[in-house]
Amino acid sequence: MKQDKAIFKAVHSRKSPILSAGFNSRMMDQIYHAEAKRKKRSYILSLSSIAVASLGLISLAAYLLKDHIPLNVTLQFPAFLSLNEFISRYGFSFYIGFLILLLMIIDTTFRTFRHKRESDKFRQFK
Amino acid sequence: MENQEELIYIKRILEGETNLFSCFLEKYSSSIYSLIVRIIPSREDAEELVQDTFLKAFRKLVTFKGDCSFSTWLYRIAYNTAISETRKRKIILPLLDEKMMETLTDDDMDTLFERDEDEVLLQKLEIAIDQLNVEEKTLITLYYYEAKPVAEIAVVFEQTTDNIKVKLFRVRKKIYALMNQ
Repeated sequence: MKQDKAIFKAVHSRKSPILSAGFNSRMMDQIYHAEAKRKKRSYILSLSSIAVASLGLISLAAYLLKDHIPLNVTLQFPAFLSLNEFISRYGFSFYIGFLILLLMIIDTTFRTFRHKRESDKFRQFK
Repeated sequence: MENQEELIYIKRILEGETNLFSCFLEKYSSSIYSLIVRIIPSREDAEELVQDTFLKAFRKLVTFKGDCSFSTWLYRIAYNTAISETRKRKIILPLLDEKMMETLTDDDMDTLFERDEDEVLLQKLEIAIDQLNVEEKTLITLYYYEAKPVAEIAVVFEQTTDNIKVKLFRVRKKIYALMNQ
């Protein structure tokens, strides 16, 4: 295709009008408004979906309780028969005491370790 | 602002920095307006369509994949917005003698369109361009005014580059025919 100088000149000879003053700021207001609307819509949508899911779960639970799970549920605790046979009451108390002591030692060790690591980090920032 | 930079800006806008959209507004609002005002003669309506274009662009920003430049993508939205607006209004365009158009030779057109010193001819050309339909006006604006390459115009029109070349050729013929009516 040739350069078409005449078409080029004719197209350029027409001055393009300028957008009215404050167009960009008005447009930005609309953009902010659209963004706020979008956020509100997505918030309502997520809230509705949570409500629908919760309702669904509650309905499912009600349906299961009504038709499939008997209401006379009894909890059966395991009988420590074997324990009673071999360990005395005092022995069992010592065993529990030892477990508590062990857990406390582990807890203290981890706390000290964590505290040390955090103070190291703090020193680095300083 | 380069393409890569624009992509970064878009990512940041999508992450919540809405105020960055003003950079795109400052860069493209005038060129989008000058495109639309050539399609829709009323300045007020054209300005409203520019607003629609940017609002649509903002809402659909998440769909911009970066396979073309942001300006091309924006032009496509502007073109589609203008097209749907003109469909609402019934614009009567002049009928052309197809037979006469078939008889036109490339040499006739080339000679005429190279004469850029003739003021009468330029006036006739402007009138002829005004009588083109929306697609043709957009084509002329993008190719001659915005100096967009054919490949980018093809993206705006969602057509092949060969199709655009054929259309440009036909528009030249039509302008010539309109000038000689």
